[in-house]
Amino acid sequence: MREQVLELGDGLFGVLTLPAERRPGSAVVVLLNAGLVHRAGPFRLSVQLARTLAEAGQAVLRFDLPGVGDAPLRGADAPAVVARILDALQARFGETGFVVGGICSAADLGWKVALADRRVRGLLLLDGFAARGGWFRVGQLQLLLRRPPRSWPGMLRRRAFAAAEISDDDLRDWPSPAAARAQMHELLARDVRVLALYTGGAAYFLHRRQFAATFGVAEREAGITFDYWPECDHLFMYGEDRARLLGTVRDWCARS
Amino acid sequence: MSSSVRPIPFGSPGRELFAVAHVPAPQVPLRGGVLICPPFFHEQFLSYRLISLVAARLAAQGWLCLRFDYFGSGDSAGDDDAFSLAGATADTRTALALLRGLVADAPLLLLGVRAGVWPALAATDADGVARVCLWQPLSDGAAWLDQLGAMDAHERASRQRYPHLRAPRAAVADRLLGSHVGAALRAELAAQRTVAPRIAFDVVGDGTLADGATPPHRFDLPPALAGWETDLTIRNVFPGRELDGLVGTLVAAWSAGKGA
Repeated sequence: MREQVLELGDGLFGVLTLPAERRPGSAVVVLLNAGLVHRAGPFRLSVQLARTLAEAGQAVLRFDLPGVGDAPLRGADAPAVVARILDALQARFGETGFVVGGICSAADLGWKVALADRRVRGLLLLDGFAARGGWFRVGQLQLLLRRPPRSWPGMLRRRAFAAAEISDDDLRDWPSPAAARAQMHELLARDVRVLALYTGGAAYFLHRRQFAATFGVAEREAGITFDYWPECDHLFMYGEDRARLLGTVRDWCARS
Repeated sequence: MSSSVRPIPFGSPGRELFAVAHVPAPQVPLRGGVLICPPFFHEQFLSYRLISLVAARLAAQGWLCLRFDYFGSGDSAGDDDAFSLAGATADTRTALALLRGLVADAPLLLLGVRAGVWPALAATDADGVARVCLWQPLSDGAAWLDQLGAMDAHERASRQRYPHLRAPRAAVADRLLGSHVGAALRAELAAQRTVAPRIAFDVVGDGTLADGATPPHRFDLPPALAGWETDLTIRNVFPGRELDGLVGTLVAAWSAGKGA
């Protein structure tokens, strides 16, 4: 495994992690920024993921989108920037497919890129979007019942005040439920593989059946790998969670 | 007249390091070089954009800034458990030599952020280092470890972070807030006490020196640029306008030799 700087133009650059020997036919993985964290990722997760995948024969690019990390704030149309970067990778690797995505906003951007660019054949959605709805309410109730009754008034009070707070729905640019379903079917029809993993840190995802309700596909639909890790936090802070994630993504990439 | 950003892999085989240089525009007279020593552990990613913005502003005023990641951190090689204070100090000297090559005989300045003040202060004896800037300096390593331990316990029990857990997550040996902090590193950190250096120095933001010395010059940190070290999110935003004033004041002081 070795790492190289890849100049991407417009003041952008990335770190390319290359395997000693690339697995034949493997896609190039492009890890996008998690929120406003630079290309190394929260708690260095993107570095560890890139190196883990490279050890398994996969090339991985980490870079900063405009306004994040080392990147200047210009040309801020993120999907267009990613498309340009896929072009640069294609120039480097020749005809190849791509896996795009990451945590939180990286999953959201990966979704848009996958819809717009047919070179994408894998989508990594870690705490990607999900519609609230009936199963979310069931999850809320389950969460409430799991806590001691003395904590219920506080939880209900917080829920009442939460309506006025800024939530993920406000900060993240999500498709409507109808659009999300149509788009997922479009991606699956194109044979795009999807790894959708939700953690307990995603406050908008409280029940595993939300996935099917959001996207209109079964958890075990061909092309979909879905899991829900309620005991894990949004940033995979702890080593055992991170190790589990690295293994899950590595195995999924190997199958994709 | 904007500066440019240049990634520079450096180091030696088996100890490959990664740096980013913020280079002043060609028409801007070079005033000197600044080596920025980042904070440790989770504070590194929390502060990354802030430090990048500071470096860009310093470069726009003629200071070539070199930021780097210690071995076992950030983009540099090495697993997390390879990080040590002795290693970080050695890496700082290696990075200082790289910076010297970039600025020739211009003055050199070290800027350490939080725990980054320790490797920065250890390197002040290098040739040509004229000044050190201590940004939100930690004064006592043992006290900091206690704070990290308390934060770790708080996060493990946090219902915000782990809403589905019935009991706090168990502490993990050799881990604090997701970073590897083994016994040897704990001992290194616990021995750290920040005292006034023998060369000119500034303090930015809160932070006292363990020897009780009063900094010759202290620069207040606007509230919008403080407190990032305890906000374990991925949404930290640092307003550039607030930085413009602070960096302008810093550069003016450095140019006037205040605190020397």
